[in-house]
Amino acid sequence: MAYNKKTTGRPPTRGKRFFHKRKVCRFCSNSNMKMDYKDPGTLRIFLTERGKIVPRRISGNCAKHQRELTSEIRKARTIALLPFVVTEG
Amino acid sequence: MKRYETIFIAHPDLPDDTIDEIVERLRKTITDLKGIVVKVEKWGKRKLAYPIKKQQKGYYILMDFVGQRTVVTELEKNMKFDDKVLKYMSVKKAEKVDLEEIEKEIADAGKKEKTEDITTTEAAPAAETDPAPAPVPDTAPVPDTAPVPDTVQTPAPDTETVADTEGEETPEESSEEKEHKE
Repeated sequence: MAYNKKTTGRPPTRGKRFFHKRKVCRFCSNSNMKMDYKDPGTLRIFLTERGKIVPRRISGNCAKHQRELTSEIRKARTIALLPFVVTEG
Repeated sequence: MKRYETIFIAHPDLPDDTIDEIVERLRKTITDLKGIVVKVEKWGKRKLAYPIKKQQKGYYILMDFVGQRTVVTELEKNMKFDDKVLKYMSVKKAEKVDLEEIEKEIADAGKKEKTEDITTTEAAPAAETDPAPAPVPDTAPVPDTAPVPDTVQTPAPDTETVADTEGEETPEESSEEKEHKE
């Protein structure tokens, strides 16, 4: 019982951890990149295959831009430029 | 005066002159209420991301205009009762507009026939340049979404892939392990 490792199946990692490259917000670093609900091409980068919005921890966006992005995606969905859900497959 | 943008989707099977007719009618409703049309863009036929009124395609038209809130209400009322319009959405772009800049933009867009509209609305810029923000009865013009088609509500199947959470170790787990060892 003393060494119960079954919870994750992984050996307890001490010190050495995964090295994560620091993600940078795409919109902060590249000022040419504009988000607009009329431009579904750019917004599609931040959608999963199922049409969900990619979370911030994956995409690396900053909070401000993620907020803006979400509202733009929602507008695009309303006018059928982006799907609410992709069910096929 | 605020700046708005209205996108609407017309029925894909309409002939071109019917679409022009709709656009002209909407343009007239804007100008009748002392609004200024900045530009009208026809995006043409596009595939819809989800079917609307059993249509897979739609003819997109974008109207960019300046006006009071009443203009939007009137415009949306107009489209609501029109079967040729599948769906519409209005977005507020700017709270205040600079009429000179608008004029410039119209000139850039090459809309010569709209110049007379500007001169008519020139008479009332005093109200907007007022430093005290006029108490505009503004119930934030939420883009009035037409009833979302039922087909959207198909529940996502249970086989949702949860590939997101890997590579992240929850801190609680490791602390639990520590306790065990002690």
